[in-house]
Amino acid sequence: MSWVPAERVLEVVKAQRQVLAGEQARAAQFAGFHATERAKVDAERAQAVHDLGDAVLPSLEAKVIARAAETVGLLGLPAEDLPAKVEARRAWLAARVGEVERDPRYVQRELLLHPRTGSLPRAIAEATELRAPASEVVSTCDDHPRFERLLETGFGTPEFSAPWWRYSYWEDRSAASAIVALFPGKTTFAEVRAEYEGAKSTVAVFDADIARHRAELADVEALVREHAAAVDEHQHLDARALAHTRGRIVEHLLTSDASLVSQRLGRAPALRLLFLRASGLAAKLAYLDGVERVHVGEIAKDIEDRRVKLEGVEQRTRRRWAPMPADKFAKLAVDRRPAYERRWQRVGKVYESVRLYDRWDRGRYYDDLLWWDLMTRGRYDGSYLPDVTEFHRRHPGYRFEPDTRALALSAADMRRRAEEEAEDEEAAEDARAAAAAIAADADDDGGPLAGRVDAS
Amino acid sequence: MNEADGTALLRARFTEAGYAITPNFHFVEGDIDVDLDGWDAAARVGYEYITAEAGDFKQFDAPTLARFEARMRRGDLFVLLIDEHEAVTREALDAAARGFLAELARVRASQGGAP
Repeated sequence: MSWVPAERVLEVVKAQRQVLAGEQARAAQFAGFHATERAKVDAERAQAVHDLGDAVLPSLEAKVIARAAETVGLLGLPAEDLPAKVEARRAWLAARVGEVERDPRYVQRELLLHPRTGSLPRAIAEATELRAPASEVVSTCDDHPRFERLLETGFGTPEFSAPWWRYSYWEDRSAASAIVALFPGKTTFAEVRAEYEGAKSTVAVFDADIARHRAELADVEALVREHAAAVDEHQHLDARALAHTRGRIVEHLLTSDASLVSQRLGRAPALRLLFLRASGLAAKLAYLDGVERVHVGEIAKDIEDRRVKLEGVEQRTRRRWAPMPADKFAKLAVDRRPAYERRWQRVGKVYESVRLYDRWDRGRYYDDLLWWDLMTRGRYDGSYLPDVTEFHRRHPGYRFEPDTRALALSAADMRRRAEEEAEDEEAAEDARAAAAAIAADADDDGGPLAGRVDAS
Repeated sequence: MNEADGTALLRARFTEAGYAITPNFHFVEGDIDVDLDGWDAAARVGYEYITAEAGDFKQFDAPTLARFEARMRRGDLFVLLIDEHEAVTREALDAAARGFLAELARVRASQGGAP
């Protein structure tokens, strides 16, 4: 068996590490590219959703709602009587705005709320100022670590019963002396205790005052905010109701089976195209995210695994400084760049197939519509994408027909046949009418319509 | 301040006050059987650091402490009990020892004894 010296092994480890660093940079670059592209597609999708909403529901008139509901299959929508609800809301808002405007707190809001001159901020400031001396007394006492104990054990009162042979008794005395010294003019702890208790009550009174003023202030502020919100809603009620209802309809369309929606919208070709665009862009966004997450994630994991392996080889080699068997070295030295290049090529092809796709109109030829297959022309497996897996679960017998030209011709053929059938039906109807007329003529001599025919 | 430094300081103060302190005295009288950090058998005066490390809480359990303090209330003996263990500083212990010894002198004087 031949061997490769440790120096050579370390050289190769270093070179392989550089390769991995290059691939890591490439993965980061791809992530940046995806973020940019994702933002563009998302903006397109938002525009498509907006356009679809505009087209499906131009206004909030009852007849328009009824037509939209019939078109998209939201049959319960007209029964909601949205125009009446909007009017009821408008009336309620107007009444509430009037009610708030008559509220004395709202009328005097400036007098109450102004930060410098308002009565409530001033009352709070005044109470805070008056509270300060008492608060100072309380905090001076509370800040001493032994004050609470002295208070609890009744130091300075007849209840204090600690025996003088205990160390704690002398500690209590020292602490009490130190606290008394903090209050000029006081000579005993009992005096400090009385001062503290009085201050505590004073603080409680002012705290209650401040809390009450703050609650009043918050109430008035809430009233002002409510008024502003109600006025704003009243001014934009129609637009908001329309946008909300459009949102509901679009949500219904985009969360239903795209194939079924596309078929349903067959009688409204322009609307169907807008739907296909919105549906396709939503799918594109999900697919791009999925491709980036899965494929680039796998490459990143592979890079990390290799990096860890190289680190192990380097550590072992440096520790033992022993040569490596030639066969093992050959595996270590394999140039990974071509393999990575092939993987990036594959990812790039899939990603670009999806990213560049914009033939939304082709969706109309498919009774079972899976955007993934249209975007990739059925060339790539998408089973790692939840949407694709879910589609196949719902359509077990599905097979993708990549020849959209043939489907288009077939659709045109079907349309022509339908038109011919309609024409035949029309001719038959004419024939039936003619036969009826002839029969009527035949009845002229004694039939019930004889007089009227003559008259005409 | 640890117990060793504390007992050294207490021994110095008690000695200065005229007591003949025997360190680590095994005190057995009647129903009381405890170890004291310092004890003057003649004056019946001493001191005790009650610490968990030395197992003092087992000896000075609540009933024993109650019996011990009952004797002090009767004036039978006087032992400074260091019953706090956190943040005992040299200055605080010194002040407590001086306070205890002064009070003891006053009590003994009122009892007609010495020192």
